[in-house]
Amino acid sequence: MSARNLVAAEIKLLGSALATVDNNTTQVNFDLDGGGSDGDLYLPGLANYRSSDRIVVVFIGHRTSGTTSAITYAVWDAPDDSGSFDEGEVALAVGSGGLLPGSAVPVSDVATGTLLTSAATGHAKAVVGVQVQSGRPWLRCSLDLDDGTDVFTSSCLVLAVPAGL
Amino acid sequence: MSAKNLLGSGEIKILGSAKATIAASGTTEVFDFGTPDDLYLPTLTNFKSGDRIVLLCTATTEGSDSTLTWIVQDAPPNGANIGTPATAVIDGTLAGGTGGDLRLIGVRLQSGRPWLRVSVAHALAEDSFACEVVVLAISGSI
Repeated sequence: MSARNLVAAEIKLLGSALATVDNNTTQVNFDLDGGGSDGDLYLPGLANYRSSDRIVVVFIGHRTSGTTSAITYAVWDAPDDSGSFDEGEVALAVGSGGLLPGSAVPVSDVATGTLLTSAATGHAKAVVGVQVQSGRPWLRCSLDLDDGTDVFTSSCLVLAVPAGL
Repeated sequence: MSAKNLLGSGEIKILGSAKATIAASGTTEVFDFGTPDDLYLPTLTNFKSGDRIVLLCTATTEGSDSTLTWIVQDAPPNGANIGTPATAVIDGTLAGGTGGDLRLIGVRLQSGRPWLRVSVAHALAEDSFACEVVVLAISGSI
């Protein structure tokens, strides 16, 4: 096994948040910018984002109570609406990734614009690549359950991977 | 803003993840990634030679006094088990401040040292931390 490059310093953290869903079926959006309820990311406004970066979202989730609820992660994009996420034009982002329900082995890639859902009884982790689309510079990441049975806590980290890494 | 290349689970791979809770003064908690506890890279199905290793380290606490420190070690084999660990070659910093922590740590794999061990420690008995490490392999071709 030969020496490998060190790359952590080149990977940039654009946003991170912790979210919990419990006893309700309401989608929870990660507060990625730490600004409270408005937690979406506006990529051009981030000091460490470059237009050639590739976006990767890592979800690290734990079911802290229950064994039945299906968990859904999602990444959304939207146009800019006078400095805000355009709620009227929100859509699932174009991406690819693998959901890891309590396992270290990725499942097959999901289709573009598809929710990442796991009904497994354990935890759920995912790595999602996001294709930034022209005219849609806002990103939102969310967590949801299909019922109010379980309690689920998850971290979300949005990474920018520079070109040519 | 033009379309960008799309990275997915084929290029950014989760090799392992583990949680640990640390509460007592001077305690070091070793993350358990599942049997055989530490990570032996050559046997992981989604690890490929040429991958770059990055650790995503997160810690949450309700306290504000203790300082958390991450420990990253590699080791040679000892038969089928981990040999004697030593400090790995990394980039990034290992010492967190007080309060919660979030950091990326790169690891340079060294010849003959295919085992990885990740631990966490803190200096004071004031706070408890819920910690998690996710070990990512980044393909060499992105």
